[in-house]
Amino acid sequence: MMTNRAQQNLRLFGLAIVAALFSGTPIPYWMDLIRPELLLLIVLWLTLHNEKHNVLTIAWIAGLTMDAFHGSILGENALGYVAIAYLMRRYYQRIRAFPTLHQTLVIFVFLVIEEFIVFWIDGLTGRPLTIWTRWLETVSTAALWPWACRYIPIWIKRPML
Amino acid sequence: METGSRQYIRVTTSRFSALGLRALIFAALSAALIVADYSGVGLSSVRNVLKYAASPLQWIVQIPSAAIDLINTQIATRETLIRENQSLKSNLTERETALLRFKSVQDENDRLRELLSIKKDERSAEVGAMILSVKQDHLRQRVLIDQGSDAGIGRDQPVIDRGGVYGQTVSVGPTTSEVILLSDSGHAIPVIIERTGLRSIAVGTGDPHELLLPYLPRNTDVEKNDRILTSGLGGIFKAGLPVGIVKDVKRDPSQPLARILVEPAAALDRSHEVLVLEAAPIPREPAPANAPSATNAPAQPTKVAKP
Repeated sequence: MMTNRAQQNLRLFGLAIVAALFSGTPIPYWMDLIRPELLLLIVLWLTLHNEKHNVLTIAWIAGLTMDAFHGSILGENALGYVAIAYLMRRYYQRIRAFPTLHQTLVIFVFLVIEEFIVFWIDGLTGRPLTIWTRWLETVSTAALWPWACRYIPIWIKRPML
Repeated sequence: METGSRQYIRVTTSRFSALGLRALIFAALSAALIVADYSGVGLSSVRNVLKYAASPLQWIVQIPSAAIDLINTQIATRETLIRENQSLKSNLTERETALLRFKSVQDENDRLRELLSIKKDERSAEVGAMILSVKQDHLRQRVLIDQGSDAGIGRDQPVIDRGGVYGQTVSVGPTTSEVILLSDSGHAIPVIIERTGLRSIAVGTGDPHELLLPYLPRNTDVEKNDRILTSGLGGIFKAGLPVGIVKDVKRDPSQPLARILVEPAAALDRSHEVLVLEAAPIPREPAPANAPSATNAPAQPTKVAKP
């Protein structure tokens, strides 16, 4: 018999796997431009709402998974994920008190920081990707924040079937 | 009162430092990984392990599209099948006649080369591969194919599809390889304009429907619908493979260089099957391990590049 907490962790892990898979699912080019980074959204949600987890480790592993899955320079996404997980955890008590729209704006700023780190490393390692469309995903990911706040708790608290 | 506030400050700073320290450690770890991966020291085995770990995910991802393909084949009506069969048959006849012509031209070419005592073209071994429908690296133009070093594929081999040049292999695992597409913004390929014989370099733009010839002066003789072929310089792609067709030439009077846009001949975002060719056997200058190899073309032509 699993404890309630183990069950929640398992559900969250399942959700993370689905999010990782979504990032690699082939979709049309125009949709690809606005493909949200669901895994990052889940990591951010966890950072904000669960102080028991060691979120930096989770963020780092999630980032590394993305690097391995997408064949980018190893550690690139990992660094970005850790940076914003750190920022989020540093100010989580304040951010948690914000209304959802306000939170969304903060998340957007964090995502821009993350994207900038990846952009910067891309440039440093000699494969710059300077098209403006790379910034679109920050908007689409931030726009999903209210839904993440609403549906992730519902998903992880629902009893096992 | 005063002690209380001091205590509060102490607690928050100590938490910050523990969190900050951990963040710093992870950042340092990531930085070390980035440096190691970039300089290519000792990480290939780590990469291989990660690739193996990621491959089940990659197979799962392509299940939906494979299922849709399967359903499409299963529910195809008799009429569609007949129609398809007819068109395939006529296509086949066309191709066969074209192949016959091609063979005679090839023989003639060989004879002429012998007369000119130029080394014969070696017929290269080729490996057919399927593209795993996995989106690699966000917004970058890379794909994964289902053949790797087990099938004899190595790094820096040209990849073509039915239309023309598709890209080249950048990293090879035992059962899969990663292919960088022509249109990746980090890719460049030495090309020649068929009509004029002018050499240049075509670079990717990040858009699968567009390549750019950025290094030609404004008064260059290039027109819409000119065919662009590989020049054979640079040592990876053989000469004469179709790269694309010029779709737009912008000559801005205030700019010294023309902006020439090329529509790739290969269906970069639609192909399912590709062919991995052997790299052209031209001795190359030692290039830095990680640089996009096509750009470091040796300047002197070592082979007759004119198609």
